[in-house]
Formats: sequence, structure tokens, C-alpha cells
Amino acid sequence: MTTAESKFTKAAGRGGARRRAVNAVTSALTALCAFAGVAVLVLILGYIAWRGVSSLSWQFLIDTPKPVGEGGGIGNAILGTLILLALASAIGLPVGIAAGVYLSEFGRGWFAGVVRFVSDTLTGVPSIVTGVFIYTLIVLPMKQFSALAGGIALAVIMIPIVTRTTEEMLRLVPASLREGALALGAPQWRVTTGVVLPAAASGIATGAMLAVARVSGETAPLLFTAFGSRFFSYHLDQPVASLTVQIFNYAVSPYDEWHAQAWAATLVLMTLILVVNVAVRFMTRKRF
Amino acid sequence: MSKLQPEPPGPAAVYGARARAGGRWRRALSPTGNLGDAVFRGVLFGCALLVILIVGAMFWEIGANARLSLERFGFSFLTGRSWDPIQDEFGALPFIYGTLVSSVLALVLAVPVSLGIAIYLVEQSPRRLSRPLTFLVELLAAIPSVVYGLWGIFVLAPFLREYVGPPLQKWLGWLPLFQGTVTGIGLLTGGVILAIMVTPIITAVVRDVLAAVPVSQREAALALGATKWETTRIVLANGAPGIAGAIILGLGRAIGETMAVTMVIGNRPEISLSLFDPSYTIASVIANEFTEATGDLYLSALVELGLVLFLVTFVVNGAARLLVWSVTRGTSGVARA
Amino acid sequence: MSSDSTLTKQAAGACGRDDVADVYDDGHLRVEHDNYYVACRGEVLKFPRTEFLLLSRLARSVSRTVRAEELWACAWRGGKPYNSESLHVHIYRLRSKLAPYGVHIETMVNVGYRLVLAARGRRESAGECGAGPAFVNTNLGRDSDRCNTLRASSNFSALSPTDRRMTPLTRSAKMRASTALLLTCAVALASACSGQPAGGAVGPGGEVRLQGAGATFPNPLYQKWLSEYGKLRPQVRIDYQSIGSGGGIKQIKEQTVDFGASDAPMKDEDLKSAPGELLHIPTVLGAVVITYNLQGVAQPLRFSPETIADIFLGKIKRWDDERIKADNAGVNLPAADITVVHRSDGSGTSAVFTDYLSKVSAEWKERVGAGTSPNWPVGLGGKGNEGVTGQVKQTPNTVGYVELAYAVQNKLPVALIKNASGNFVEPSLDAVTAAAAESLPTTPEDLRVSITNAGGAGAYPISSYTYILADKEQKDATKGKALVDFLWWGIHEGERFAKDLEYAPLPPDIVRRAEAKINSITSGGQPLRQ
Repeated sequence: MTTAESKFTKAAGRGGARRRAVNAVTSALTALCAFAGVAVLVLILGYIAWRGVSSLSWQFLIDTPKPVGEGGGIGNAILGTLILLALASAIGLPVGIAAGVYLSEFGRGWFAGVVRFVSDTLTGVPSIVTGVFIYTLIVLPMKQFSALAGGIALAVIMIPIVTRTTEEMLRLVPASLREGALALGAPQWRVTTGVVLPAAASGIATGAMLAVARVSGETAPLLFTAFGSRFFSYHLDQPVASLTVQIFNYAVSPYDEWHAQAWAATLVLMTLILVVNVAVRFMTRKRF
Repeated sequence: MSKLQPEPPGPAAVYGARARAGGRWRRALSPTGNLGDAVFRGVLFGCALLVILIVGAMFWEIGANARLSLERFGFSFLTGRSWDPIQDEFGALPFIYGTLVSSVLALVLAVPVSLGIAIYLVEQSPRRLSRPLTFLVELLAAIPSVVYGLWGIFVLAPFLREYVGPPLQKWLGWLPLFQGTVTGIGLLTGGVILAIMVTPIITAVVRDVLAAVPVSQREAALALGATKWETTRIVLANGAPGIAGAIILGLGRAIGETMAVTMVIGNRPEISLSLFDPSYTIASVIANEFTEATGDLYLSALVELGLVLFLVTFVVNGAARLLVWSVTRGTSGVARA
Repeated sequence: MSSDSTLTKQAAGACGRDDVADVYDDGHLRVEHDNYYVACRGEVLKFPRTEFLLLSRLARSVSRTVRAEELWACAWRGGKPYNSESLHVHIYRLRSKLAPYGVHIETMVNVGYRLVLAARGRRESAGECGAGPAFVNTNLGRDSDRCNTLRASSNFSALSPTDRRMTPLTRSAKMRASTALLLTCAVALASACSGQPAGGAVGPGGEVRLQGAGATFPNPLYQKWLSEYGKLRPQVRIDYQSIGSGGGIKQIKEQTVDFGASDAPMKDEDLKSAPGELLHIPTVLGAVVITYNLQGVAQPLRFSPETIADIFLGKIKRWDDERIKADNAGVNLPAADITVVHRSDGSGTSAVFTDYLSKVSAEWKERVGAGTSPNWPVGLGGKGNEGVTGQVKQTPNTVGYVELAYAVQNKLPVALIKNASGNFVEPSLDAVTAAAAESLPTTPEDLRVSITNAGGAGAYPISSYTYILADKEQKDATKGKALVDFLWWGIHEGERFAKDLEYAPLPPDIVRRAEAKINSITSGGQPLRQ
């Protein structure tokens, strides 16, 4: 403390001007970064909107796809994406959060190190490899492409992201909170679920949302698992359409009409993510 | 500066201290000797184990499918420079090079910007601006990569070709990094696209890490007369391990990304120092050729590329940890990213 | 036999039988209600108990609707609460077993079901089946011999006509005991039964689902086909996913789809490793065109085959090369480097293009060869047709190759190519169909053929078929029938949608060859198309 204190007071006396200058420059720089980030985002969003907004209509949102030249929509793909994301979240979030809690609250020794290392490796696995893995694991034995397989593939991609973010967020919960709760005689599981997790809820939600956002943009792992469908499908053991596969199929086609629909579908996908994001934020907003 | 912070005991240490007070048997069950705790711990352990199992199964599956190629090429697969499915010649070196360079480039570009955005959001921006900005940045993560790719071809590549390449060549052309013709398609464009894609991931996590640093720390620093920036540096130091974790998450995305990179990187399995030249990444070649590959050796070689990617990720993660550790050694937190 | 009947009557309870005789026989279908005996066209059919009871009830009022609740009460005695799902499942199984014999069970939505005999006209061909009760025994003798061999491994004796003297009580007990076995053998039984002449099409009211996957190139056309065919036959629900030709081949081999699709014909070793014989049915033709981005060049460029090969080999490096000039007199070619753009993803387009180059250039064949992902000597790789299109559009002085549809839709310039007869031919759908027609003499029986560099004055030299891959022997007769009908529709009525979407229709001779392929598709050894 004393060294820092003396450093600051000293600096305030002599290098005050320089420090203020550094402060001003860095403030400007960070603001610039934020501006640049937002600018890129606005550029991309603007580009998507510019290309896609002409195809947006109510009919587009509820219809099933039709051949080129006949309009058609993405209703079944929206439903499919929601099913897949729900499935993936139902599997991936609990496992990921639990693994993250383990790492943070009990994670000492070689085992935790291995889990950390392995989950970091998993984030770098190309999504198509995950897709092929789930294909051999689930689709081939079932002899059937299915929403379930797609959901599991996405869950596998989500898990490491959720695990690592959860761990980081839990570590930032002050130890005094845990000690306080333990001192009151609460068992460890009560401390973790009742005190530590709520304190980090907003951060964990960020991790979860990142994971959901990340997988909602994935095409490759769905190609060989959830497959795709022209129809509305509610069955978990049947192939199911998804926005990204639809976007991909339309984007690589030669027709401008389908291109425009692909951009419009992208717009819808992002709106969907935005809505989910806002909802999750609202539910986990900071209470401390 | 590090001395400003009290040495925080890790959560695991907190429970450990309590455990030491309990009896041996109860400790074997759970550190706190409570049945609910034992169950709780078991479930968590199971989930952590599941992560290992998934990766293990994947590794096993990939290894089994890559056996043909492993046996045929052995170590020369890693050093071979030729990739010719028609002649059944497979070498991975150009892909490894392309993966490493494009990912590093992406991080070099993305990390400062992401930190900047995160710092701005947490430390400087007015609250009413910070919330929508956070949303916007996270939205970036949700854009399908094929869309990034198309945007890259139609907007980014021409932009780099016209406005970024020529000045770079003019001022830095003497560096081998910036020689050759600028086509707009190549390593640089791939790196920039990747940087844009990993920025939201790094930003979002760093933002939360910074936000979680107790306000008291900032107040303490400010009270001692530190400027806003000096306070930020203290906050950053406190969050260093978390930031490292964020960067590794971003790195994972960069290494594993396929669709967007492949659309702008030029897809040539060649090793060239110049950032303007086309290159190729491991993930791209898998995504590009897997769906159309027929022939057992060919498929097996593609799968072995997946194995190589595993190894690359291992090595890069290891290196990143070392780096983070050496940077944060002097400060409080133990580097465990 | 008579005492048996009374016993059974008691056990079976009265199920709307008062007004009907104990044997139903219209010459086509014979149901002995008390004997758990069903024969059709002289063939003894075996059903699990519940299915038999359902059929028996339906046979008592042929062509009349029986209420679902009544059927339930007949088959599930003991007051089990009505469950439409269970009933539907049993009706579905019964229906799929009866369909090959021209016996249909129609769904009267929200009311019940009724039995319809569609194939009355076959009475003559049914032979002994039309005979009266007097001949039944001889019939049975022969049938049971055959069926016993079928049954040998599956412990079906409880249902065998030879065990007809068994008391109903033991029989029913035994049946219950073997329910599990029955279930596991149901598939085998169904396929054994469907091995007989397939009379009917798809059961009315029953939805048939087909799943296809494969090539990306024909996807827009197939989507159109599915949509149009769906309007004609709403009860057949076909889906197609474009996952790439390699994926299509893989999926049909793994049996995860009902049909595959591929741009390039399968290789011999792939065909050999498939579980059954696979047929290649050509659907339409496509063309690969050379496109470029040259400012200030208005008229289309002309290329000789050797020039194209040398450009893609990297031997011709500049646009103002003498050899390009030689073919393009009067065109103001820029003094600039050529940037070659090729596909980076494995693709049928690349396979066709490199196959062509291998035919016209010995050096190409030697150094590069033909395949979906060749090792390109020069150039940038673009992902997909869309990627190549984009790069050519965006980058000056580029040359690349894409599917015709992409060039047309994006209004890219396309080059004329000198064909084997020495004419510069513009890529057009007619020129592509002509290439297929010209290649007819060299087209092998299995239709796996490359038609690049075809002779004939008007033939465009870089063309190819795209195929649907189907199992020659269909496991499921109902699905097989639906597939065969769809394919038949596709290569006839479907062809008229091709041109609008920039695909070249098949020449008439190839349609005839494809018809023969479709006709050769069987289920249980019997052709599905009649």
C-alpha cells in the first residue's frame, strides 16, 4: 500500500501533466475502439438489412420454403432453429455451468487442469468435426437424421464456452461472500447455489448468451445431424429445418431471389438472438 | 501496484480450509462432510468428467478414422507440403502455417480492440449507452459465418484491396510481410474477418470480468489520487486471468472457424511470408473437401487433419498459458487461463 | 372344425358378426374369421392377433366404414380405454402388409376405416384363390409348406394353419407369449409378404415419406420438382437436402436416406462397397462455363481447349498472350496478369472441368488429373460457385469456371469454347443437350458416363449429367413404389421445369434409357412399376 500511495502522491506532484495526458490519450483510444467496433457492426448489420429487408414480410415469416420464383418463407426454419436452440441449451447449459462450477469451486489438482485444458481445446474444434462426430455417434446407429442429433451437436459446441465463462465469473465472486455464508453454517451446496451462483448470474448469462449466439450461427454441425426439411416438423426424431442451413443453401444458389431471402433470414435470426438475449438479461439482471 | 490488492484466496481454498477442520471419513465423502454436498459435488464432477469424455471420444473417433492415413504417411504428414487428392499425396504443413498465422493475426488485431471496447463499456461510457452497446457487440457473435464470408467477399476484400493494401505496401513494402500483388483475397483479409468474428467473444467476456471487479478497488485507487487510466490498469491486473480466458475462447473460435475464412483466404496450400498471398487453414480444408470426398485414404487424410488441428490447439493453448503466466507473474492472480 | 368354430366364437365374442357368414371370400381375399386364417390370391397371409381381429372386423363389412371405437372394441377386448394412436399404428401395419395385394384400408377421417378391394380385376390371375371352400385344403397344404420354411426361424406356429386344431385359449396364451417375437419378426414377415406381386400403389390416406440428399447443383430444380409433385400427390411427402455429392453417396450407402444424388457418377469401388446394387438415374444436364472479368472487353472471348489448359496450368500468364490473341482477333486484350479463380471446395463442377482438361491436354492429365479437389497449379480458391462468382466479379483480370446458371443469373460474360469438331460453341442449354445426344453411342448400359469433349458440330464440350442414386432392390415396397413413381414423373413431366432454372433437359434417347433403369427397380424381386 505504502509504495503505491507514495507513487501516486509523488506522481501527482511531479509528473501530473504527463499522467493526465496519458489518461486523456487512453480514454480517447478506448472510445475509439468502441466506436470502431460499433462501426463495423453497424456496417455489417446495415449490409444485411440492405440486402434482406426487401424480402421481409409476414408471409415470409410463417410460410414454408418454396421453389425459386414462388416466394416462400422460413416459418419451419424459425421453428426448427428454436427447437434446436432449446434442445442445445437444455443439454449444454446445465452441463457447462455445472462443469464451470466444479472448476471454480473445487477445481484444484491435475483433474481440473485437464478439464480446463480439454475444454479450451474443444472450443477450437471446427464445428464440422463436431457434426461428423455426432453423425457417427447418433445418426448412424439410429439410421435417421434428427433434431435430437442436431441439438446434441450444438450442445457439444456450447459446453466449453459455458464452462469457461462460468468458471471465470464465479472466480470473481469475492471469497468473503462464501466465507460469510459458510460461517453461518450453510452447507457447501447451499452456498454455491444460493449465494455464489446468483452473485455471478449476470456473468454466467453472458456466457450462456454467447454460447447460444455462437451456435445459432452454425451451419456445418447441422448439415449431417439435424439435416433440414421442407416441412414443419415438431418431432425430435425427425430431420428438422434450421435458419442457418436454409441461409447457407440459399446463399450458395445462383438466384437473386434466394440471396435476398438468405439475407432476410439472417436478419430474422439476429432479431431472434436479440430477443432471447434481452429476455435472458432481464431475468438475470444484477441484484447485488 | 499489485500490492493494492489483498491476496484473494481462491474459492477452492476457502472450502479446503473448512475441510481440514472435519474428520477424515467425512472429508473423503466431501470436504465439508455433508451428504448434500457429496451429491452436489458428485454431480458437478460428473459434468466436468463429461467434458473430458466428449473430447476423449472425439479424439478416439478421429484417431480411429485417421488410422489409414496415419499408417501411410506417419510423421511426414506434418511436414509434407503437397496436398493432392487425385495422386493421393497428403501433407499438412501449409494448412498448419495458414491456421497459425491467420489466428495470430486475428488475435493481434482483435485483442487490443476488444480490450478497448470492454474498458470503454465498463469504465467510461455512460450507463445508458453501455447497455445497448453490449447488446450490439454480442449480436456480432450471432451472425452466421457464411454471412461474414459473403460480406468479406463483397465489402471487405475490395476495401482492403483499394484502401489498405496499397498504403501498406507503400510504407511497409520492404517487409517480406507486405510484398506481392494485392488481390484483396489472402491471409490479411482472412485475419481481419477472423478478428471481427472473435472481437465480440473476447469483448463480452472481458466486459463481464471487468464489471465483476469490486467497485471498492476502483474507489481505493481513485482515493489515492490515481487517474482514471491508472485505476483501469489496476482493474485490468485484477481481471488478468479472466481476460486470458477470454482470449483463449477467441483463439478457439479463430482456429476452428471455417466458412468465413475460406471465402476470403484464397484457399491455396502454399507457405508464403506475404500477408497478401492466398493461404489455407486446416478447418477450411476439412469443411471444403469433406462433403465431396470419396476414397478411403482421402477421407482418412482429412480426418487426420482434424487430429492435427487438435494438436495445434493443444500447443497454442499451452503457449498462450505460458505467455499469460509470464505476464501476470508479478501480479496477484495466478495465471490459470 | 365345427366345434372349433363355436369355441372361437365364444372366445372372440360377438363382433358385428350376426349378419355375416364365418368365412368371407370374394375370390380375391379370403378371411376365415374363426380360424385366424387369411389368404389372398392363393397366398396365406399371417398377421399378429390384433391385426387379424381388425382385418376380420373390416372384412365383415367390406366397402363400408367401420367406426374406430368399434374396431377398438373388437381388437382390444376387456374394456381398454380407446386410444386412437394404438389403433392407428395397427391399421398402419396392416395396411402396409395388405397394400401389395391390392387390398386397401381407407381412412375416414375422424370416423373410422373401411376395407376396399382395388384389384378385383386380378381375380383370374389369382388362380386357386378364387376357388370355393372345397379347394381350400389343397391350397393350404401347399401354402403351409412354403410358409413353414419362412417361419422356421421365427416360431410362428401359433398362427400356422397346421395348428388350427389348437384350442383358442392355448392359442391366445401362446400368442401373447410370442408377442415380442412377433414384433421383432414383423419386419421380416412384411418383407416376405411384400415379395408377392405388388398390385396397389400407396395406401390411400397413408402418408409416405421419402428422404433424399446429395448434390447441391440440382437442388433448385429438385425443390421445384418436390413442390410440383407434392401438389399432384399430397400423400407422398418427399424431402431433399443439398449436402454435396460426396455426402449423397455416403448417405445412400449408409442407408440413412431413401435416395441419393450426385453430379459425378459413383466410382467402381464405391459401388462395390455399397450394401446393395445402386442405380444411376440421370435427371438433367449441366454445363460448366468459363467466365472472366476484363474491363473494356465487350464481345465474348473465344478459347481453344489447349489455351484453357495452359491458363489453368499457369503457362499462359498474361491476357495479351499470343495464343489468346490468336483466337480473339480484334479484341483489345489488356496487358495484365491473369488471375485464375477455381473452386476450393470439393465439387462436381471441378470434377467435370478437370475431366475435360484431362481429355484435351496430356500435360494436364499428367500433372493434375481429374477429380473433385485437384491440386491446382495456380490461382485463388473460391468457396462454392457463389465464391468463385463473387471473386471473379470483384477482382479485375480474373478468369474462372462456374455452373452455367450462376453466369446467367449474375450476368457474367461467358467464353465460347472450341469443341471437338472445331467449332466455337456458346454455352447454351441446347448445346448441352446436344452433347449428351452426341455421346449416346458411347454411353454404357449403367449410364455412368462422361460427356465432356463430345463430338458433333453444336455440342458444348464441358457438360455433364447429374444423377439420382437409388437402390435397385427396395426394402419397403410402399416407399419403393412412391420413389419409382416420383422418378418417372421427374424424367417426363419434371423435365419441363428444367430450362427455366438453367438446366438442360435430357435428350429423348436418354429418357428412354432412364425409363428402363426405373423399370428395373424391384421390391422382393418384383418390379415396382407396371
